[in-house]
Amino acid sequence: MSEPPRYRRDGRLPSQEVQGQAVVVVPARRELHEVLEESGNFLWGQLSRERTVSELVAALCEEFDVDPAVAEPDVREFLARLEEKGLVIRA
Amino acid sequence: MNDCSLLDELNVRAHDRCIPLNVTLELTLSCNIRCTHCYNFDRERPRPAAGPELSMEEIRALLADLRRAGTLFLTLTGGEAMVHPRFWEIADEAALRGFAVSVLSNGTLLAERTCDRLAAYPNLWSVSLSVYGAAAPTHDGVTRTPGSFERTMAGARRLRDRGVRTSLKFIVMKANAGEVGAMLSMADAEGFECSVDPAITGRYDGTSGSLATRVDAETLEALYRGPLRPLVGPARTGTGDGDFRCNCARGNAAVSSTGEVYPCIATPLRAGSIRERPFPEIWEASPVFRWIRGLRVADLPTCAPCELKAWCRRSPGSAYLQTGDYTSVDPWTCREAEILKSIGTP
Repeated sequence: MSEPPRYRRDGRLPSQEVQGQAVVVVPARRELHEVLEESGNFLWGQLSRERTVSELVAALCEEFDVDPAVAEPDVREFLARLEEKGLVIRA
Repeated sequence: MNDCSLLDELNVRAHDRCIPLNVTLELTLSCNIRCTHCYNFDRERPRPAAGPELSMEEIRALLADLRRAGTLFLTLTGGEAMVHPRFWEIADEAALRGFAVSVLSNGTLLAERTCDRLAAYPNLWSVSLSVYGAAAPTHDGVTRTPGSFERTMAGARRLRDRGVRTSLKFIVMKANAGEVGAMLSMADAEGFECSVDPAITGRYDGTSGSLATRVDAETLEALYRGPLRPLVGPARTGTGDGDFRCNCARGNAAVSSTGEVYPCIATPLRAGSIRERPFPEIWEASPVFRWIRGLRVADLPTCAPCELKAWCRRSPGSAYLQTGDYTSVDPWTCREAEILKSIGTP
């Protein structure tokens, strides 16, 4: 059985927290992205280190007191969205 | 939001909340060319005495402080930024700290390998190169450096071909007024973004010889009626809404090569020195910055009653350098606003 994928921010991209929200710049595509919502910014913070989906779900549930069954689809959707934009990569 | 409209929105937020989102770091006053209009100092005279330029250790500490203060966009300039002996270490540090970096340069040092190295930075946002003509005789006359036009344009093409966002910054002056159209055509034909700036200012060293290179009002009007016609329109700032809508000391700041902190690189009004206090303390508490943030149009004695505000491209830096008063205005700016209004009003 293979290891679950581990995710992290693409640390090469410029970013900054502006009024509590992460802003990420993708110079190669001349794009700026803003991570919206408190839970998204919490996950973005978690992704400064390599994390599996399970680890992110556990951290999110502990922080926001939500059911893992509810949190997991949201985490997967969040990761998919950020991976598609190139903001998050698989380690 | 995933396009550069977010950039505009961020700048509005930075202005309203006083976040130093954009900081320009002047790495050195040294330069390898000798432009007639240089705003640093008269390059025909000995360099003015000043303290030592920032050490690598001081720059490292500054970048850490800027990061904490909220800076995202860091612009490296000079003099010529790339003559700084530790330019690449500074670029590495800026990448490590997560800044989106822009470089303002004369472009004469952009050899193939240099461009390879610059283009490899994933945090490089843009490179802007100063160009003073559509051909070598004009440009080289301004830089007083034979061969500079060819080197700058070759560097620009190398960066462009490597996918770097490369723009040509055209400074309009007497020497090149007759070829502004050709300059714009050159940028267009070669696929460069460009900006056009006809505003030449006095120098930081207090001399004003640079002003002799400015176009006169008659020439400026001919340019705005001719090749610069697309630029004629109401200005975004100074619209008379009661707010002095300028990002100086609100979303923008600059640090000189000797550590002086300014509201922007065009305005050498000293708010403090990072050799005396860390940047975040100066940003928060400097009386100069607090004063600037409190200014409204009503506080600008010449501008407040002026009917040209909607057309005015007032630069506090130009006003300060010309008159010594940040709230004053450079008369050339007033003449420019008259011209813009006369052309732009149906």
